[in-house]
Amino acid sequence: MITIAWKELRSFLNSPIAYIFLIAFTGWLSGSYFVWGKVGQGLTFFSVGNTSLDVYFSLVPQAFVLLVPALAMRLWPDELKSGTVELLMTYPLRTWEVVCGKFLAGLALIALGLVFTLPVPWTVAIYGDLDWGPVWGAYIASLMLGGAFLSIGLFMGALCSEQVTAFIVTAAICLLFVLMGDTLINLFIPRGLHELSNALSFSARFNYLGRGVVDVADAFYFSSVTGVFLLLNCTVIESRKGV
Amino acid sequence: MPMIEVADLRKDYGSFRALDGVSFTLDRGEILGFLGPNGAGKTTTMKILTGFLYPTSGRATVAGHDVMENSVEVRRRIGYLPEHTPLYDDMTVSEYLHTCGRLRGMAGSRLAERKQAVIGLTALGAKARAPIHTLSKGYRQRVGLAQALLHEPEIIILDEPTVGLDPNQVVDVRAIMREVGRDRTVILCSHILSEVEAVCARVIIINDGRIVADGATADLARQHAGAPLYRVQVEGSLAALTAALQQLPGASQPVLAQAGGSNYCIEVSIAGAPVDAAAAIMAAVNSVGLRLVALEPRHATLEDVFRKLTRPTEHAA
Ligand SMILES: Nc1ncnc2c1ncn2[C@@H]1O[C@H](COP(=O)(O)OP(=O)(O)O)[C@@H](O)[C@H]1O
Ligand SMILES: [Mg+2]
Repeated sequence: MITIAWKELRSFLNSPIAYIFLIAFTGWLSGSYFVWGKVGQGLTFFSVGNTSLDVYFSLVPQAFVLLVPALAMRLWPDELKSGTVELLMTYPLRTWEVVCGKFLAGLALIALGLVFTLPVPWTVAIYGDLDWGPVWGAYIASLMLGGAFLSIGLFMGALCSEQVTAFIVTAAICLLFVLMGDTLINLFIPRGLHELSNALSFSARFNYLGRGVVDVADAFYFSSVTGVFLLLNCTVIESRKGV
Repeated sequence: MPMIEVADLRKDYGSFRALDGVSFTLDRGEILGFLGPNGAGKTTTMKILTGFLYPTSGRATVAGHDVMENSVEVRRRIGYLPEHTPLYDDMTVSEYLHTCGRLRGMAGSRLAERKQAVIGLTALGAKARAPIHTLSKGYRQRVGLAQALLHEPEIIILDEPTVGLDPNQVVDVRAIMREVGRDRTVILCSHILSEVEAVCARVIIINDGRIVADGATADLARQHAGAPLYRVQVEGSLAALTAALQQLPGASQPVLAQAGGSNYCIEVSIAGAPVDAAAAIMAAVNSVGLRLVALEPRHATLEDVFRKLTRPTEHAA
């Protein structure tokens, strides 16, 4: 599993996508926060004027909706197209090891992207009294959210075996998960479904976790979504063997 | 216990039946040529043996392990070169072999030693640091072979390993196959007859998802060729020769093989292959006053057998 992760990671680093991801992610967050403001709200560090990083971390989901699917989209389709999947699947590896190895490689890159944003809380901490508790909470929440998006993207790649399709579908699903539970969105869906929509929403849970309110239920929700999509991924790969 | 046991294997791709009751066994140390025209089902059979595909029905075991229930154990024992030689193009040869070894759980000095050994065997030393996407087809094939041999597998499966190589490269790859075949069980899939004749002691011919012949390479031609063919070359009249040969009891319709001036060469076989067939032909030629230039039996080749057993028209009928 570690070898697979390693193989994927070095192939990430050999392609532009890893660097695009890292630069775009840090750029998006810092740019929105300090310069042009959050999409749809125009809030920046200066307009909010306090040293809480709420606004900063609330940028993570929108950045991830575009960037994580881009990262995940090549993990399976490359292998399915070039036929190297036949090598991989005839090696003495279990399907879940291959799937988890690929997942870990993506997660490592997401973690790296988050590490690159650390200078921002540091900077803020210089200006004022920063409570680091919520900051770490937000980092954990971000990693979990990224993991959930990644598992969706990985699954879609295995299912469609086509990068562009996988990217579009994944981004759409991720966006849906983020928007669900939003008051604006709730206007458009039947009242009876509001509860469900709120329960499935990534944003609300992300915000709670991000405030340092580490609720086991929220953490469990993200892990479950990730787990379910990894499992579905194994099933798709297994089903390719046919009967 | 046979190394590979395949019993009544069937594989359907949707409504298309690619394998229709394939059975064979292979003992340790055998070198098998798995021969058949394109689309016969060779690759499908190999994908099932390596656990890449599940059969629709039937059973296959490798070293006593079922390919479906104990897939990982099976895959541990096999070195596989898939058709079209897929490789991780962005790696160098050395990185690639290292990764393959790690994926097979090899490490440290054993991996380093085996890597050296297969690089030596496949003469890849000069290209070890080259990125795989820069390699020619012949070198790619060698990398694929090196990968298949890395973990000293008990069984080596090579699917069309010489397709697209120039004649010199073909000779090189065959030499490697013969070398590794000395102490391993090998299956070589191919539609190239000379390759199988050159490397394999045993041949299975598969056509339309069914095995149509199975035996020692040397025996197969004799078994399936029917009565031996004689080439009769004479000076004189073609009509007279044909008439004379047709008089012989059990003679087949004579076929003109060559003609030059008044010199004709005809191929004919005598049913039941009597011991005195040659003498009878000679007498028949003399009796009509033709001058016999040459008379030789033409031994059936593997090619004759292959063509006879896999001709598409026979199955269309
Ligand atoms: N994935 C697939 N889906 C549908 N048909 C397939 C598939 N793979 C192979 N076939 C068909 O099955 C038959 C056998 O193919 P294959 O085993 O690759 O033959 P060979 O290796 O002997 O050339 C062919 O007619 C081929 O078209
Ligand atoms: Mg084939």
